[in-house]
Amino acid sequence: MDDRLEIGGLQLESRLFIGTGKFSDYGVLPAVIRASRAQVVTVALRRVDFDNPGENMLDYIPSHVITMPNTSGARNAAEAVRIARIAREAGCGNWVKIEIITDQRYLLPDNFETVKAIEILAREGFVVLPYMSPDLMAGRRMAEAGAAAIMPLGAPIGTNRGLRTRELIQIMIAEIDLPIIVDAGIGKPSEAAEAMELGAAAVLINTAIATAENPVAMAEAFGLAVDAGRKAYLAGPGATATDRFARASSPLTGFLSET
Amino acid sequence: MLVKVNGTVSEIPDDFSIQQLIKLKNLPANGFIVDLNCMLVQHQDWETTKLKPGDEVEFIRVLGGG
Repeated sequence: MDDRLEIGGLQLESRLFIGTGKFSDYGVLPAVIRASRAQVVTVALRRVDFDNPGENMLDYIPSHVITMPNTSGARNAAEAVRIARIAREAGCGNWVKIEIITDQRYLLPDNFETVKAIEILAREGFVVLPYMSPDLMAGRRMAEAGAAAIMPLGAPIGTNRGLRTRELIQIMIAEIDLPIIVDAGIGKPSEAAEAMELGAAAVLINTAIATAENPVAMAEAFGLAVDAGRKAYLAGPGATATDRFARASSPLTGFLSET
Repeated sequence: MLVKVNGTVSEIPDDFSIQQLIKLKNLPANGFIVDLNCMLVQHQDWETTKLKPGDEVEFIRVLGGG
Protein backbone atom coordinates (compact mmCIF):
# COMPACT_ATOMS: atom_id res chain seq x y z
CA MET A 1 0.00 0.00 0.00
CA ASP A 2 1.36 3.44 -0.91
CA ASP A 3 1.26 5.37 2.32
CA ARG A 4 3.54 8.21 1.31
CA LEU A 5 2.71 11.68 2.55
CA GLU A 6 2.01 14.14 -0.24
CA ILE A 7 2.83 17.77 0.45
CA GLY A 8 3.56 20.46 -2.11
CA GLY A 9 3.55 17.97 -4.94
CA LEU A 10 6.21 15.80 -3.29
CA GLN A 11 5.73 12.26 -1.99
CA LEU A 12 7.47 11.75 1.34
CA GLU A 13 8.35 8.31 2.71
CA SER A 14 9.05 9.68 6.18
CA ARG A 15 6.44 11.22 8.45
CA LEU A 16 9.06 12.51 10.87
CA PHE A 17 10.26 16.08 10.34
CA ILE A 18 13.24 17.28 12.39
CA GLY A 19 14.18 20.70 13.73
CA THR A 20 17.88 21.55 13.75
CA GLY A 21 17.92 23.94 16.72
CA LYS A 22 19.60 23.34 20.09
CA PHE A 23 22.14 20.78 18.91
CA SER A 24 25.44 21.27 20.71
CA ASP A 25 27.35 20.73 17.50
CA TYR A 26 26.20 20.84 13.86
CA GLY A 27 28.54 17.91 13.20
CA VAL A 28 26.03 15.48 14.73
CA LEU A 29 23.25 16.50 12.33
CA PRO A 30 24.10 14.19 9.40
CA ALA A 31 23.99 11.16 11.72
CA VAL A 32 20.77 12.35 13.37
CA ILE A 33 19.08 12.87 10.02
CA ARG A 34 20.28 9.46 8.79
CA ALA A 35 19.11 7.66 11.95
CA SER A 36 15.72 9.35 11.90
CA ARG A 37 15.21 8.84 8.13
CA ALA A 38 13.68 12.35 8.11
CA GLN A 39 13.30 13.96 4.71
CA VAL A 40 12.35 17.45 5.91
CA VAL A 41 14.34 19.58 8.34
CA THR A 42 13.73 23.10 9.57
CA VAL A 43 16.32 25.86 9.83
CA ALA A 44 16.25 29.49 10.94
CA LEU A 45 17.62 32.73 9.51
CA ARG A 46 19.43 35.25 11.70
CA ARG A 47 21.79 38.18 11.37
CA VAL A 48 25.43 37.15 11.32
CA ASP A 49 27.15 37.75 14.63
CA PHE A 50 30.40 39.41 13.57
CA ASP A 51 32.16 38.25 16.74
CA ASN A 52 31.12 34.67 16.06
CA PRO A 53 30.13 34.20 12.42
CA GLY A 54 29.64 30.42 12.81
CA GLU A 55 29.54 27.67 10.26
CA ASN A 56 27.17 27.28 7.35
CA MET A 57 24.36 25.02 8.58
CA LEU A 58 23.45 24.06 5.03
CA ASP A 59 26.77 22.22 4.72
CA TYR A 60 25.44 19.65 7.21
CA ILE A 61 22.14 18.87 5.52
CA PRO A 62 22.24 16.10 2.90
CA SER A 63 21.20 17.27 -0.55
CA HIS A 64 18.23 14.89 -0.77
CA VAL A 65 16.63 16.42 2.35
CA ILE A 66 14.16 19.30 2.04
CA THR A 67 15.32 22.35 3.97
CA MET A 68 12.35 24.25 5.34
CA PRO A 69 13.26 27.67 6.75
CA ASN A 70 11.10 28.87 9.61
CA THR A 71 10.14 32.50 9.98
CA SER A 72 11.09 32.56 13.65
CA GLY A 73 11.78 36.08 14.81
CA ALA A 74 8.81 37.39 12.82
CA ARG A 75 6.31 39.32 14.91
CA ASN A 76 3.78 39.85 12.15
CA ALA A 77 2.86 38.75 8.66
CA ALA A 78 5.06 41.34 6.93
CA GLU A 79 8.18 40.17 8.78
CA ALA A 80 7.37 36.53 8.10
CA VAL A 81 6.89 37.22 4.40
CA ARG A 82 10.23 39.05 4.23
CA ILE A 83 12.09 36.17 5.88
CA ALA A 84 10.46 33.64 3.56
CA ARG A 85 11.40 35.64 0.45
CA ILE A 86 15.00 36.06 1.63
CA ALA A 87 15.28 32.35 2.35
CA ARG A 88 13.94 31.35 -1.04
CA GLU A 89 16.12 33.77 -2.92
CA ALA A 90 19.11 32.54 -0.94
CA GLY A 91 18.54 29.04 -2.27
CA CYS A 92 16.57 27.40 0.55
CA GLY A 93 13.82 26.13 -1.77
CA ASN A 94 10.18 27.13 -1.65
CA TRP A 95 9.00 25.32 1.47
CA VAL A 96 8.47 27.60 4.46
CA LYS A 97 7.30 27.08 8.03
CA ILE A 98 5.45 30.17 9.15
CA GLU A 99 6.22 30.99 12.75
CA ILE A 100 4.87 34.33 13.97
CA ILE A 101 5.26 34.88 17.69
CA THR A 102 5.04 37.91 19.96
CA ASP A 103 4.26 36.06 23.19
CA GLN A 104 7.64 35.53 24.82
CA ARG A 105 6.44 33.52 27.81
CA TYR A 106 4.75 30.60 26.07
CA LEU A 107 5.95 31.23 22.51
CA LEU A 108 2.39 30.66 21.33
CA PRO A 109 1.98 31.61 17.67
CA ASP A 110 -0.27 34.36 16.37
CA ASN A 111 -2.89 32.56 14.29
CA PHE A 112 -4.34 35.80 12.88
CA GLU A 113 -1.05 37.13 11.47
CA THR A 114 -0.26 33.61 10.25
CA VAL A 115 -3.38 33.54 8.06
CA LYS A 116 -2.33 36.85 6.46
CA ALA A 117 1.18 35.55 5.77
CA ILE A 118 -0.17 32.35 4.20
CA GLU A 119 -2.36 34.34 1.80
CA ILE A 120 0.62 36.28 0.48
CA LEU A 121 3.15 33.46 0.36
CA ALA A 122 0.82 30.85 -1.14
CA ARG A 123 0.07 33.29 -4.00
CA GLU A 124 3.83 33.61 -4.55
CA GLY A 125 4.20 29.88 -5.02
CA PHE A 126 5.58 28.91 -1.62
CA VAL A 127 4.69 25.56 -0.05
CA VAL A 128 3.43 26.96 3.22
CA LEU A 129 3.32 24.98 6.48
CA PRO A 130 2.02 27.21 9.27
CA TYR A 131 2.87 26.59 12.91
CA MET A 132 -0.29 27.41 14.86
CA SER A 133 -2.23 27.18 18.10
CA PRO A 134 -4.74 24.38 17.60
CA ASP A 135 -8.09 25.88 16.73
CA LEU A 136 -10.49 24.47 14.17
CA MET A 137 -11.64 27.82 12.75
CA ALA A 138 -8.09 29.14 12.45
CA GLY A 139 -7.08 25.92 10.77
CA ARG A 140 -9.93 26.26 8.26
CA ARG A 141 -8.90 29.84 7.50
CA MET A 142 -5.31 28.68 6.96
CA ALA A 143 -6.47 25.94 4.62
CA GLU A 144 -8.59 28.41 2.64
CA ALA A 145 -5.62 30.80 2.51
CA GLY A 146 -3.55 28.16 0.73
CA ALA A 147 -1.58 26.28 3.38
CA ALA A 148 -0.13 22.96 2.20
CA ALA A 149 -0.47 21.42 5.68
CA ILE A 150 -1.35 22.71 9.15
CA MET A 151 1.01 22.37 12.10
CA PRO A 152 -0.73 22.68 15.47
CA LEU A 153 1.35 22.58 18.65
CA GLY A 154 1.06 19.74 21.13
CA ALA A 155 2.50 21.84 23.98
CA PRO A 156 4.67 24.98 24.15
CA ILE A 157 7.98 24.82 22.29
CA GLY A 158 10.80 23.12 24.14
CA THR A 159 8.68 21.85 27.04
CA ASN A 160 8.58 18.15 26.11
CA ARG A 161 5.12 18.10 27.73
CA GLY A 162 3.50 15.93 25.08
CA LEU A 163 0.06 16.22 23.54
CA ARG A 164 -1.52 18.70 25.97
CA THR A 165 -3.76 19.95 23.15
CA ARG A 166 -4.73 16.42 22.17
CA GLU A 167 -8.48 16.88 21.80
CA LEU A 168 -8.18 20.06 19.74
CA ILE A 169 -5.71 18.28 17.45
CA GLN A 170 -8.15 15.37 17.12
CA ILE A 171 -10.89 17.77 16.08
CA MET A 172 -8.66 19.33 13.44
CA ILE A 173 -7.66 15.89 12.09
CA ALA A 174 -11.34 14.93 11.82
CA GLU A 175 -12.52 18.17 10.21
CA ILE A 176 -9.74 19.60 8.02
CA ASP A 177 -8.85 17.99 4.75
CA LEU A 178 -5.13 18.75 4.86
CA PRO A 179 -2.19 16.98 6.49
CA ILE A 180 -2.13 17.86 10.19
CA ILE A 181 1.45 17.79 11.49
CA VAL A 182 1.93 18.03 15.26
CA ASP A 183 4.77 20.49 15.81
CA ALA A 184 6.17 21.44 19.27
CA GLY A 185 5.86 19.85 22.64
CA ILE A 186 6.36 16.18 21.79
CA GLY A 187 8.94 14.95 24.29
CA LYS A 188 9.11 11.20 23.84
CA PRO A 189 8.83 8.69 21.02
CA SER A 190 5.69 7.29 22.69
CA GLU A 191 4.08 10.72 22.31
CA ALA A 192 5.02 10.83 18.65
CA ALA A 193 3.47 7.38 18.24
CA GLU A 194 0.36 8.61 20.03
CA ALA A 195 0.05 11.59 17.67
CA MET A 196 0.30 9.24 14.71
CA GLU A 197 -2.28 6.86 16.24
CA LEU A 198 -4.68 9.81 16.47
CA GLY A 199 -4.32 10.27 12.72
CA ALA A 200 -1.70 13.02 12.49
CA ALA A 201 -0.04 13.04 9.07
CA ALA A 202 3.42 13.64 10.57
CA VAL A 203 5.19 15.14 13.55
CA LEU A 204 7.97 17.71 13.85
CA ILE A 205 10.46 17.06 16.62
CA ASN A 206 13.37 19.24 17.72
CA THR A 207 14.08 19.64 21.46
CA ALA A 208 13.36 16.01 22.36
CA ILE A 209 16.09 14.85 19.97
CA ALA A 210 18.59 17.69 20.29
CA THR A 211 18.67 17.61 24.09
CA ALA A 212 18.65 13.81 24.49
CA GLU A 213 21.77 12.26 25.99
CA ASN A 214 22.24 10.41 22.73
CA PRO A 215 20.59 12.43 19.96
CA VAL A 216 21.37 9.90 17.23
CA ALA A 217 19.79 7.02 19.18
CA MET A 218 16.83 9.20 20.07
CA ALA A 219 16.38 10.20 16.44
CA GLU A 220 16.25 6.53 15.49
CA ALA A 221 13.73 5.87 18.27
CA PHE A 222 11.49 8.66 17.00
CA GLY A 223 11.67 7.31 13.48
CA LEU A 224 10.55 3.89 14.66
CA ALA A 225 7.82 5.38 16.87
CA VAL A 226 6.37 7.38 14.00
CA ASP A 227 6.33 4.24 11.84
CA ALA A 228 4.65 2.22 14.63
CA GLY A 229 2.05 4.88 15.33
CA ARG A 230 1.20 5.22 11.66
CA LYS A 231 0.90 1.44 11.18
CA ALA A 232 -1.33 1.26 14.26
CA TYR A 233 -3.57 4.01 12.91
CA LEU A 234 -3.92 2.25 9.56
CA ALA A 235 -4.55 -1.09 11.30
CA GLY A 236 -7.57 0.36 13.07
CA PRO A 237 -7.20 0.04 16.85
CA GLY A 238 -9.95 -1.76 18.76
CA ALA A 239 -12.52 0.12 20.81
CA THR A 240 -11.68 1.51 24.26
CA ALA A 241 -14.13 0.51 26.99
CA THR A 242 -16.08 3.39 28.49
CA ASP A 243 -16.47 1.56 31.79
CA ARG A 244 -13.89 -0.13 34.02
CA PHE A 245 -15.14 -3.72 33.64
CA ALA A 246 -13.05 -6.40 32.01
CA ARG A 247 -13.96 -8.28 28.83
CA ALA A 248 -12.32 -11.72 28.98
CA SER A 249 -9.74 -12.61 26.37
CA SER A 250 -10.02 -16.39 26.90
CA PRO A 251 -13.27 -18.50 26.56
CA LEU A 252 -15.63 -18.48 29.54
CA THR A 253 -16.66 -22.17 29.26
CA GLY A 254 -14.94 -25.53 29.47
CA PHE A 255 -12.77 -24.63 32.39
CA LEU A 256 -10.53 -27.48 33.55
CA SER A 257 -11.52 -26.98 37.15
CA GLU A 258 -15.28 -27.42 36.47
CA THR A 259 -16.98 -30.42 38.15
CA MET B 1 29.94 57.63 4.94
CA LEU B 2 27.26 56.30 7.25
CA VAL B 3 25.47 53.06 6.47
CA LYS B 4 23.45 50.67 8.60
CA VAL B 5 25.00 47.25 9.02
CA ASN B 6 22.84 44.63 10.73
CA GLY B 7 20.74 47.40 12.22
CA THR B 8 23.64 49.43 13.58
CA VAL B 9 24.78 52.72 12.06
CA SER B 10 28.42 52.40 11.04
CA GLU B 11 31.00 54.74 9.56
CA ILE B 12 32.76 53.17 6.57
CA PRO B 13 34.98 54.61 3.83
CA ASP B 14 33.23 56.24 0.86
CA ASP B 15 32.69 54.08 -2.19
CA PHE B 16 33.16 50.86 -0.24
CA SER B 17 31.97 47.70 -1.95
CA ILE B 18 30.09 44.86 -0.27
CA GLN B 19 33.24 42.75 -0.57
CA GLN B 20 35.33 45.39 1.18
CA LEU B 21 32.77 45.58 3.98
CA ILE B 22 32.87 41.78 4.33
CA LYS B 23 36.63 41.96 4.72
CA LEU B 24 36.36 44.80 7.19
CA LYS B 25 34.01 42.70 9.32
CA ASN B 26 36.31 39.67 9.11
CA LEU B 27 33.62 37.49 7.64
CA PRO B 28 34.48 34.24 5.87
CA ALA B 29 34.45 34.10 2.06
CA ASN B 30 30.90 32.72 1.90
CA GLY B 31 28.24 30.84 3.84
CA PHE B 32 25.96 33.81 4.38
CA ILE B 33 23.44 36.00 2.59
CA VAL B 34 23.76 39.71 1.80
CA ASP B 35 20.62 41.83 1.74
CA LEU B 36 21.06 45.44 0.59
CA ASN B 37 18.05 47.72 1.03
CA CYS B 38 15.73 44.70 1.03
CA MET B 39 17.21 43.17 -2.10
CA LEU B 40 19.55 40.17 -2.11
CA VAL B 41 22.98 40.72 -3.60
CA GLN B 42 24.28 37.57 -5.25
CA HIS B 43 27.78 36.35 -4.42
CA GLN B 44 29.15 37.23 -7.85
CA ASP B 45 28.09 40.86 -7.38
CA TRP B 46 29.70 41.48 -3.98
CA GLU B 47 32.90 42.86 -5.52
CA THR B 48 31.17 45.31 -7.84
CA THR B 49 28.27 46.49 -5.69
CA LYS B 50 29.19 49.82 -4.11
CA LEU B 51 27.51 51.14 -1.00
CA LYS B 52 25.98 54.61 -0.77
CA PRO B 53 25.30 56.80 2.29
CA GLY B 54 22.16 55.64 4.09
CA ASP B 55 22.28 52.12 2.67
CA GLU B 56 21.05 49.33 4.91
CA VAL B 57 23.02 46.11 4.68
CA GLU B 58 22.05 42.89 6.40
CA PHE B 59 24.38 39.92 6.66
CA ILE B 60 22.20 36.89 7.27
CA ARG B 61 23.00 33.28 7.85
CA VAL B 62 21.11 30.01 8.02
CA LEU B 63 21.42 28.29 11.36
CA GLY B 64 19.74 25.62 13.43
CA GLY B 65 16.10 26.20 14.24
CA GLY B 66 12.93 24.28 15.07
